[in-house]
Amino acid sequence: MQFLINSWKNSGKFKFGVIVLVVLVLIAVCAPLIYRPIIGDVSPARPGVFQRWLPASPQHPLGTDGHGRDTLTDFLAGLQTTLFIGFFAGFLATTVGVIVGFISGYKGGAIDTALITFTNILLIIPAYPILVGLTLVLPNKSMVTVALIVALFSWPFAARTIRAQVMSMKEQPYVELAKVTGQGDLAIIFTEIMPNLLPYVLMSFAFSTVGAMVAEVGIAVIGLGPSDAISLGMLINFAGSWGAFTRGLYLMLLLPPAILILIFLSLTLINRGMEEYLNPRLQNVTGQ
Amino acid sequence: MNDRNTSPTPIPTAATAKAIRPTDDLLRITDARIWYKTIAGEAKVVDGVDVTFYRNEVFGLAGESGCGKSTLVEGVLRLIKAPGYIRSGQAMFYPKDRAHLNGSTDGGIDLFSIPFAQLRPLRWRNIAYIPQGAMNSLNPVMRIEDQITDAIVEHTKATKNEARDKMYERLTMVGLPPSVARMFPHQLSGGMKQRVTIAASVTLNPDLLVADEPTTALDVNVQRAILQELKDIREKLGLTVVYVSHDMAVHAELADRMGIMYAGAMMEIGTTTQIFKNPLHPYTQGLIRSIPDISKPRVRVEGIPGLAPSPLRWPTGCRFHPRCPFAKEICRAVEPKLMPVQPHHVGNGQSTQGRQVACHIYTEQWDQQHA
Amino acid sequence: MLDTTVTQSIAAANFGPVDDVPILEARNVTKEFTSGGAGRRGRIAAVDQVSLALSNNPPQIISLVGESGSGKTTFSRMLLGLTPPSSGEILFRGKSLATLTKPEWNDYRRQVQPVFQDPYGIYNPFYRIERVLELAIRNFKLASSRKETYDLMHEALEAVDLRPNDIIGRYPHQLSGGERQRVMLARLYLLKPRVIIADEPVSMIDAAVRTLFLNILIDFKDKYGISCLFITHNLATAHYLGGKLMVLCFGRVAESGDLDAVIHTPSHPYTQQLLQSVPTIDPENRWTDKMDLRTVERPLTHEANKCVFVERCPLAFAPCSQQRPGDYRVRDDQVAACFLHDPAHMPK
Repeated sequence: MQFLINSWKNSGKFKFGVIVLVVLVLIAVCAPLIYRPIIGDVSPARPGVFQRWLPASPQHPLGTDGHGRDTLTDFLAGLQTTLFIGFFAGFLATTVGVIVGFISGYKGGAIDTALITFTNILLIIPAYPILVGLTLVLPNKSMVTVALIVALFSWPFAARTIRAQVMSMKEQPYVELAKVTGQGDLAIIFTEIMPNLLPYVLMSFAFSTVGAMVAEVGIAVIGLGPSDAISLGMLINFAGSWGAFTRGLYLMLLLPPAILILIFLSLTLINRGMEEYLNPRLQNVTGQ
Repeated sequence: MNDRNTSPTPIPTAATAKAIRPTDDLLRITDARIWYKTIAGEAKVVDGVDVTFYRNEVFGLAGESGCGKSTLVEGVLRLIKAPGYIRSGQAMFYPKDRAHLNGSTDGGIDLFSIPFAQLRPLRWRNIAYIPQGAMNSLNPVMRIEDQITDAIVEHTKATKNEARDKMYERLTMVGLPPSVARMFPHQLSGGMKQRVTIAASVTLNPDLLVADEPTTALDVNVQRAILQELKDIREKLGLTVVYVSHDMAVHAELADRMGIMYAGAMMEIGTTTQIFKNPLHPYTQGLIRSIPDISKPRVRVEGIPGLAPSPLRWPTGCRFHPRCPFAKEICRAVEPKLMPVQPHHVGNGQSTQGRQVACHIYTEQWDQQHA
Repeated sequence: MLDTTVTQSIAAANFGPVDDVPILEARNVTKEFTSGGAGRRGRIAAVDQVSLALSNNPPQIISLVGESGSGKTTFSRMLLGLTPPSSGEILFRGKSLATLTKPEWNDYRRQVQPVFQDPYGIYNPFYRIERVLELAIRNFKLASSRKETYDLMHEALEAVDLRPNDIIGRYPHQLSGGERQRVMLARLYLLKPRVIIADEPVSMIDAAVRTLFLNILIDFKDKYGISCLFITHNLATAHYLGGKLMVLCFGRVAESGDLDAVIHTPSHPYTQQLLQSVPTIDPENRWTDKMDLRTVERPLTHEANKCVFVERCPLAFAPCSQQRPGDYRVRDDQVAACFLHDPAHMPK
């Protein structure tokens, strides 16, 4: 907790990233309040509810798109979906990565070798073609399924980071001091090592979330996105198929990528801000 | 105690070194203030230091951690990074070799304020620096000879061959065999790496060599060898060495003159003999008392009571007064200035030339009120 | 080959207990590491058949002096049970560490405590500094209520000349190195172990604070009967503490005995070399010549047939490169592992 507060105080990057992210999340959370009045009770992804290509009007502040959906709803729902997939997949990936990385780093020996080899293999094999293949093969493409698939390739990074940190931490003098003070193995894991891992866990989470969203966009732009929701990646795909560029539909073309960039930017800044804070703390302020 | 000397070949001793008299000013620092902006306020790490280094001497800058000695020399070398900054003061530098410097007259160069562009030609040719842990900053993937010759070629107009010759000459000067040149840093021991660093730093005959705790991580045998190399270099090249260390014993072996810093300011300046035989400032007295002396019978020493103060909040008046056994009212109220010492305070016809101390005990008011 | 019974009896005779089993003892302990890497193969003995007996009745201070690479840190880790010896044994109250039962092991953990070198790394940066005190109090049940814990912490900090209000509540990086080491001593005050194993505890702190720290160690011995194994590369600090001295060179014991005797009349060439490198505190009596430093890298492999110091020794003669020296008694309380003192090689 202290760590987060200090990151906020110390780093402009962190502040900016957090503010942008909070704003985006708020918008996503309040989104239904905005689009329910417009589209009624149907799912935002359902096509053909309205007439296609209607211009902007009080009922449709941004008009409608080529599939008969309200455009404003498109963007709001897209933000919601992408954020959901990102955070959910990020959370999954980080959890798995932390567990694997921790066991690997702490136990060492044969277990470590086995786990890290597996992790490295996952990192090396080209994720994208496999993602596409999996998505094609699976019949049900709900948001959750997509998130799971995407998380599959995001956890190795977290695992490596955590493993490296655990390996260095378990050699620290304070761990040895805990041992000679009679702390058992479990106590050492949870009270000595884990708390210091938190910053890295958070950083891995931010990184995995971005990775997950990128992966989702990657499969959505070729039309393999979730079938029950709109995501920003899908909107990019639609913009392409509708010939938005030639038609002059700049909003449709530019807004989804812009929102995506904002999300990535805010998460990356949060990451960098935390990293910046971690380093100066190790230096003594009196200039030694 | 055993005879402390080993081989029969002597090198010039401290006594004969005095004959190479420190002549004029090489670097004159006045009212240096280097502060750090922190969340908790301004840390006044260096807070009003005056000191002058002469040509051709070894000056020992002593004091415990946190006193600001490392920051002071980093300031002179303009290595202070944010949130630190040079708040005020001057560091007038009078280098001999100016051929490569643009547009400078015979006057001094203020190191604190010249633009960075003018700093670069000074670095390494006129001022050399061995920071703490320097031996660990050798490039691990380059051979020693490549690192040194590259640097020479870059800073001077020498050809590669000339640079190579110079490098070999310097390696021999610090007592390293020529075979070292072809090695990589990891093949050398800590002591050898440090000697390589020293050799590299004096390759271009700088006027000033600043070394910050160069022997802390090394064993005593190696430390002795390195200290002797430094003495040797100073004799052969006639440069000034400013040696920064909290280890008073090392200063006793190496320094001609010393400056004792505490809490960001200079407390006392004098020759090493003066400081050790007759320390004036109560802090200096405490420091010298705390040095374990293996040649004397064992006696319990109480050190200096109290805790070192924080640069965020130096004590009022004299910085040392909370820990000083002689403190009086004036010490709490007024900060003593670093001033020359009167003969009657040292007695025994000892010389007071160059002796300075920042302590109310050695002022006239004290004599009037408390003597 | 060394006669182990000779070594044992000499070690025991030097530092031995007055009337009971030494509380902590190392018998012919060796620790080997395999070293790989470019051009270097084979097993290096970081610690090579070292024996030491530390008594608590009466309490004593033994200084272990050696340079980097002498094996002193590895040896201390074995005494602390943090790493097992390759051969030989570590005994606590006469019983080998490997055979201790759970309650005996807990007793060992309570009675043998370390002080480490790096005053920063010993504190978990996540927690405030008083946590090390709280953990000790909690795990060893030294107090039974919050108030008692609080009082005990205050008492401990004051015992090491620190002001509790300036220390409690701060994070490790907010304190100086000297303060951090003293908080370690406050922890030891709470635990009052029988033995402190201090590995270079003062090398990273300043001179004036060093004296305070060493005084506390001496007080611990005199007031609370705590023995100390003080590991250092600095002979001057060892001298300040007094007691016994053991000089380690490349993993082997070069010389051992009463500290004053060894320092006044060093019998092993390595000890003599170490003493010559101690700076005098007299600016008018400086080193006047250069030391002949044959900077040879550490011997690469565990060679059992010559003295470890032979390549650097100015006094080496024939037997030195043919076999390992044994331990030879130089005088009543001094033993040197050097052929110069071997009666078989003495000039007639």
